[in-house]
Amino acid sequence: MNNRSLSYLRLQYKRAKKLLPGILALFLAFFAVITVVAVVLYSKRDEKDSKVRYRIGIMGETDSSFVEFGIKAVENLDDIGTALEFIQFADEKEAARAIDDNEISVYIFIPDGFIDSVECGRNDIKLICVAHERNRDSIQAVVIRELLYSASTFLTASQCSIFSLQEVMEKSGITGSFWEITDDINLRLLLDIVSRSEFLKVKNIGISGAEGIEEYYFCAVIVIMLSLFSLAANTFFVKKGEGLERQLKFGGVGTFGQVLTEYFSYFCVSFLCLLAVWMTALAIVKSGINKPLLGIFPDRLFSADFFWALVGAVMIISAFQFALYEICGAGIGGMMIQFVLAVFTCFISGTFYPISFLPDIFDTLGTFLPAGIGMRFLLYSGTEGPSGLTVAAFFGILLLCFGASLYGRNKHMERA
Amino acid sequence: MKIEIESVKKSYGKREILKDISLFANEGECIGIIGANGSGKSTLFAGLAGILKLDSGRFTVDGRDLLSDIPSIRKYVGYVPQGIPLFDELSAKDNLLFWYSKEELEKSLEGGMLSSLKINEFIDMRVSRLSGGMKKRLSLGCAVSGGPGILFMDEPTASLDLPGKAEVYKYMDDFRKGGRTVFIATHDETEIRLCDRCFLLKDGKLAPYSYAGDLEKLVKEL
Repeated sequence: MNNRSLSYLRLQYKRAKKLLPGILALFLAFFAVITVVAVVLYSKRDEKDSKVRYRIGIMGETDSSFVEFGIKAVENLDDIGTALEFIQFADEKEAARAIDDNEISVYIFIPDGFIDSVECGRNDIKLICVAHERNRDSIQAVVIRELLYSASTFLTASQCSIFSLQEVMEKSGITGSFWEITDDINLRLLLDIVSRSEFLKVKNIGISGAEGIEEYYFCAVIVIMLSLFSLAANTFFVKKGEGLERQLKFGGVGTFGQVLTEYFSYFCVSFLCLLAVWMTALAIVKSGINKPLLGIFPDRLFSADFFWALVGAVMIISAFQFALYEICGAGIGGMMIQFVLAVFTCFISGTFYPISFLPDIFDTLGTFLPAGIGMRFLLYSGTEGPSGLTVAAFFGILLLCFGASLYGRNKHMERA
Repeated sequence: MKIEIESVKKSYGKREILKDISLFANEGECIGIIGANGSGKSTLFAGLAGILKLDSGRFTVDGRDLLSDIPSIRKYVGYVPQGIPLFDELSAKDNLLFWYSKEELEKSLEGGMLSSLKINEFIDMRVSRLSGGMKKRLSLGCAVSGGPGILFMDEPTASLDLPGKAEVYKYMDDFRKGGRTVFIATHDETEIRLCDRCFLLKDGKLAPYSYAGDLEKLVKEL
């Protein structure tokens, strides 16, 4: 970077100082609205949760007297303080949506052949329990506890019946092979139940890497804010059609210097605004103003890992928006293209709706989209971290965006 | 000061914008390059100011080829592009400080080029609050920061009101009085009349043009 580029950087710093308060106010206002909406939704969910602790969806091979009996038994025999209610669903999509809307905590899918498998004493087909990440541990524990409780109740009752039968038979003087047969029945029953120790397989949907929906949407809001930020912060770029690019180049700030300096200032302003949002969220949590807020902003969001993930997310999304602005321009058509692309890439990257509810191709595409990379950085910070592919895509897309910005600026310089 | 432009060529792909452009200018002259929109006037000026890379050609001042030493161009040439290339949200002073050091700025405001532009009148005002004429004066002030002997002005009075235009014309006169040379790219009749010599740029070729006050003929020839 030459002296002229440094002078331009100083000038951008002055511009940022002038423009920052307005942009920051815009960011915080947006964040405040989102927070209020989230708190209202969260409070409503809490009320719903206190009335019914666990509602469980059930689907698959349910038209069996065995299953009907099992459901009634679990509902009626439940006396360990956990209220369970079973709701039948026709298809998995409906059940997944009910999980997302928090209408049910989990759904159990009974695969074809499961009943036969149980009746024949095999252990080859398992129940599939689909739970949201936020409920994974608690639901697994509850379901296992409830089912084992019911099973043990039945087992005890069954054993009592068999022992009673043996006693009656003994008193009646019936001896011989009957004893062996009843012992066999008892042993078989015990073995069947014990050998099906891993009778439940838990499959997680929704958000992996994050603790729950609140964190997921906190990350999503950050990505959406960043993606839409360019529409509100165009003044950080050179005014198109005013000859400023040419004037700057004449003054010794070449295309590379212009793009680098402007991107840097754009990145700094974006990051400062998000940092302000982040700090505000932290201040709310630390102040302990309201209990529901603690759920919306869990601890992991305020770790050093999350801070660095935020830096990465701002870098990649800013670079993409910068390149878009450079290529599309500041006209109404250009702004529309930027808006549509920002919303579209956010959608594909799972910011509006958890990616696992969307077709698999969206997940693959999201790995190579700036919004998707940003989401992955934020979601996996502090846990397993972003995958190697995500990190490689981060550097690749960053270079691509910078190259596109240089190309756009050069083209514009020629056309101006 | 002897200014010569020799065999300048520029193409975008297969499209030839400038075909073997040559001309010379003397000290204190005002040279007008006339042409319709898209004829290549801005490309010619941007090329001579070192902003766009020309395919070939020489631009010499007293025998020194400026295109072979781009960083030195600002010592000889001032360039005012179309529009208002300023940062609206900053003050006039902040804009000037990109082009001048503090010392240079103070000196120029007291008795240099900036004083003749009367920039002191609005030095602390935000650019967004300045009139069109003031903004043009300020962009002229930025363009001449290197103390050049040649000034390229691309459509200097486009979208200015009459007082604004008068201010620009006055500055052009002052600039020439010091023995310096002005090149303007224009299709404005008033500006054409101000020029000592005019050239018509059409289909990439430059030819001398003498305007005799027949506007209808000029329009046809553009």
